[in-house]
Amino acid sequence: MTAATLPAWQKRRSALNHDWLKNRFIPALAKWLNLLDDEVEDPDFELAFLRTVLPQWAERRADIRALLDDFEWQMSPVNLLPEESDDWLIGLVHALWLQRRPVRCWVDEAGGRFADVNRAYQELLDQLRLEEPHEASAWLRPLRPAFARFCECCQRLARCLEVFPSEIRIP
Amino acid sequence: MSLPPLLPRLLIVDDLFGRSLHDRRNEERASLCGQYLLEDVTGDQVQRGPQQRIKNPIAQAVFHRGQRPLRARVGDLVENDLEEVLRVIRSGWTEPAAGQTCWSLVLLDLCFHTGSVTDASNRETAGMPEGQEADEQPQHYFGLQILRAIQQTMPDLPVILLSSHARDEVSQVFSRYGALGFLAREAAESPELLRDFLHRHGLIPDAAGLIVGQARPLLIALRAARRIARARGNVLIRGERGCGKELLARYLHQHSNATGGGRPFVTVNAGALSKELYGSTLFGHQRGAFTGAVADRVGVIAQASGGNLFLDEIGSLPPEIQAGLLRVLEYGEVAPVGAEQVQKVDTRFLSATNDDLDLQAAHGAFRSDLLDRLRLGGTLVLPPLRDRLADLPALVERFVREAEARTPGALIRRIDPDALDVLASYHWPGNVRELAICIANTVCEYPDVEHLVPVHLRLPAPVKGNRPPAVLVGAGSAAPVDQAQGLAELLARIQAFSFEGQRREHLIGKLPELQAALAGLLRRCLHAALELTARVGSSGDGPLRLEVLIHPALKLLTGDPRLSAATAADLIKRIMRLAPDDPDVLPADPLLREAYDNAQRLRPRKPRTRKTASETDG
Repeated sequence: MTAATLPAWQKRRSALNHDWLKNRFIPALAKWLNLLDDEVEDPDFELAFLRTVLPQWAERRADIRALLDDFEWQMSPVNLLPEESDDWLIGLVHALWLQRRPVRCWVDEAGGRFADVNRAYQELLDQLRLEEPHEASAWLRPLRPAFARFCECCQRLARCLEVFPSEIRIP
Repeated sequence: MSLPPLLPRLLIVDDLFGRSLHDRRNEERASLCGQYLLEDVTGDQVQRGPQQRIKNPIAQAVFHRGQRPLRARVGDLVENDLEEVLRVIRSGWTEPAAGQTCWSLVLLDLCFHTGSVTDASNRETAGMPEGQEADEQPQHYFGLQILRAIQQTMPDLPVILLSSHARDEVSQVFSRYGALGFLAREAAESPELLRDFLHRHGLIPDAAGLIVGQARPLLIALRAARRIARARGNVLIRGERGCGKELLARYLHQHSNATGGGRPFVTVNAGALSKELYGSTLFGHQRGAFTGAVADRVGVIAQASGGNLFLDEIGSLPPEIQAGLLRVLEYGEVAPVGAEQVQKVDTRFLSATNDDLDLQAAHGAFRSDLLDRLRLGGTLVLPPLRDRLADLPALVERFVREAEARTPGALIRRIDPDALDVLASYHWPGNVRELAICIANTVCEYPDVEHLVPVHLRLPAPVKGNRPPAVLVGAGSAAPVDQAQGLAELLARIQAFSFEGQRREHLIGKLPELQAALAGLLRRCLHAALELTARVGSSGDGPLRLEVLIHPALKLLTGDPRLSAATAADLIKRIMRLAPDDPDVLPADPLLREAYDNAQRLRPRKPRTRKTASETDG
């Protein structure tokens, strides 16, 4: 038995992981790495990257953290029970779900990846602060390893978020 | 001079990257192109300010939204448009524009968002609708509908899924619908992944320029060769005469991971070997193994160990050699003639034939167990030229430039479109080799012209039957319709011709005329044999050139399979010296000239000739 419509959590994940992280943020980071490697020229993007692209992580990370925190209860099969269900039944169904599916492992794993991204982001910011306040990519080439590390962490987080089920199922 | 290799051409069908915007460029698309190093050639980008430039693009990309309208504003209803997607795909697949290849790969998104464009959805991503629940459900993915339609109508089209959604959800379905792979949007090392997909699945021309052409049947053969190249299995290459089997073998060798980088590529023409030389040539021999074996000789199989051996005309291998070859293929051992010990080899056989070896095997003329081993790694089939006439302009360009470079004083000429039309109307039974010879002759005969026009072309007569009609043009094209019948009639007339009763005045000065006619006839006959047995080759990465093979040509002409190479050279020199006026002046025909040069190299001593009456008298 599954829910007839897409759960709200799945919609949030779709907006965050597919629409933003995978389709926009990671391609922009990957393009930036190619720009640092002198494979790509894009003066507009070069000017905009540090000001508008990179800070998107700081703007969105709270949403991603909330997505992880909400998963256990929003995707629990208790959401399929009638509203008037007894507390013992709700507790039993949820416990069975936790027992049969590695729900908390998924969340912990994704939480670890999320923390990795935050750490890589902070390291990147620390290194950027040491640099002169300019935006020319040539001057930022020494920071390429830090940008690459941040990009890899984002890629791992995106893959990790994909592992979560997209439907609510009775265990 | 060679044309620059074309970049592979991708079609990316995706609602996010394919959408066009009214007043600014699609930043998501620009990022994707920057990520995968693609040159955007869609032509719908808003030109404002400095644009993105990819310095060394992997491929060109055309983007299509797959929906209508392509440019959506707030309030518009966005709907999937299967009919239009298929039209766009088909147009670049079956009828690519001039100078463009067909789609090398199609990258296809899975989930397409539909519905109304609202203020909120437009603010989040310009021109995108808010989406409906069914869009996100795997069983309703529009990408899978497109994939299914492609499978039904264009099954050869290589499709890779490019998606941010989970592969597991659709892996079984996309395999069933014929997709070749799945490229995750967030993939690390994206350019390398795309390069790898293009290498394995893409229909891409030969970037090295060894094989000229971008017609779909050729590109499919090249892809098959690249796929096979990575393994070490023996490969059988099939195709009509003159369609470039050796070049395909070289291409395969160049794409062999294990065999590239200086590993040997050895060629041998089984059809040109005398019976006595088969064993020695293939397996080698020890000194004293037979009369004339004055030193040890390493056979071609051992020479090619670690690399590839190209064995042309494999169908002409005699039975006893087939048995010996079977042992090599089965045990990886070679026994040189006269040797007591075997030698281990690691040689991959790339065999070529235009014979129907299955038929020969069915009749017992070719060992079926050998045939199985020769094609264990796969069979490649090269298309005939008539099935890739789209490549004619590029091939003619290449051959004209090469012929001009070979012909002293030849002018650089433009190729008239009418001349291409004429060439395209011929059915080319001798395929690319025949075209190369035709062009070489044309340039040689008309070195001082600046335009290649139909009147310069000499094409043989059309063949009766269901072949495409040939167009006869140029001087001397009035050849008999049935060449074999015409030759038989000519021979009969010569043999029956009598000079009895001729009046004295009719015979005055006829000997030089008869000699000249006979010399011309024999040279044309020799030319035909050289043409049939020549091969198009190249030295390493150098340009293509015709290689004249005098030994097989004279074996063909004499009908004597035991004819020695020395006798063949002597015969060629005699034919060349038959002309009465000035026997040292060789014809302009490049094939005959090269044959004569080869014969002189092989037999530098002049063949003994009878002294003329005047010499005797003197």
